[in-house]
Amino acid sequence: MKRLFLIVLCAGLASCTTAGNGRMMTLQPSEAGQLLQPGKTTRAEAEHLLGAGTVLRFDSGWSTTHYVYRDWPPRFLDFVPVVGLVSSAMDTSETELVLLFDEQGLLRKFKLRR
Amino acid sequence: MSAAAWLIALALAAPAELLPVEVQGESTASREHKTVADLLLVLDVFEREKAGLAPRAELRIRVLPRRDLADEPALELRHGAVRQPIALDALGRFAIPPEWRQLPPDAVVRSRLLDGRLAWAVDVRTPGLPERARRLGDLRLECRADLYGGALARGIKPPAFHALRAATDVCTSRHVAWGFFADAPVFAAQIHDDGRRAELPYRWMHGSEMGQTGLLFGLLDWPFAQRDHFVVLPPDKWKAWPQDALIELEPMTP
Repeated sequence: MKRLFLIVLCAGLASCTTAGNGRMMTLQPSEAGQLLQPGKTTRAEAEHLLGAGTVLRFDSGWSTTHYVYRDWPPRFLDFVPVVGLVSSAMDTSETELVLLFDEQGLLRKFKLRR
Repeated sequence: MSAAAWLIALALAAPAELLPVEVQGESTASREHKTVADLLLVLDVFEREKAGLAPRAELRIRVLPRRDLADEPALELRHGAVRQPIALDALGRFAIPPEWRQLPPDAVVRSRLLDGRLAWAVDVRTPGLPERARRLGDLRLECRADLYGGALARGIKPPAFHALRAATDVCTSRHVAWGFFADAPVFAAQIHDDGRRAELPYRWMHGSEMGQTGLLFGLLDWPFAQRDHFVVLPPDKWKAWPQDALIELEPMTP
């Protein structure tokens, strides 16, 4: 029972997950289109606007920065045995922004998914 | 006499023409290779299951540089004293000729590259698809032909995997991750069929869920030079989508 309580408590504390400075929670496509301009926006400018995201670097020198905001259930539950079978199958409200930078750190593409 | 003077004197004293010396030998270092028997297991599954998954598809075996894009696979068929080069197409693929079924058991397809330098993949494609699109049934058959056939791709396969494979279809299981390499660096993937569309969440692109580095990366093919080409199927393996659904791959560059 104690264990179950702890799981519920932890889940409650992390009922939403986000990366960056939280701007993702309200970001609309039109706003993203104004803030982020392929060929112009630099990595530093994007980080200034959105905070630090999760960066993935490729051998080519290109990289992606990933921001995600997810409401209940939090992503970590997907990896909890048994619980994850349910949580990962649930329809969730998730907003995701991916920025693609070239080897010079210039934004080449971005994608906002809700 | 100085050393330089001695060298000049020796050079002058040498015969005008030296006889050529031929040295033959082969390094014992392990090279990238697959047995022809493994490739024929891939062919067996492909032929057995294509009617249900990809009736018009063609099978190829694809080799990709795993660590360094500059690596040239340079494959050859070897058995006994036979050394026969294998031509690759622009995507690094070759077909498995039916006559390979008659080859002796020691037959292998071997690269001159050291072990660990290549990624091998089953490649199933239905001709005539739009550029930068893959058919879902083709990808499902790739998975089947590898995990139930030749096991060409590197992967982490603990005993639980083998138990699961015996009990269920691991190519539709949420507990087994499966992916494929696009033909060019890919930014996003979207599945569509008959007007219905769904974007693949980024955590399944490039294996990004696994982070930049990991202790187990050495056991896998995709975390290195080809990572920007790699797409992981979502946990449900797009189970609700038909075989003819297309996965559109948006390239990184226009």
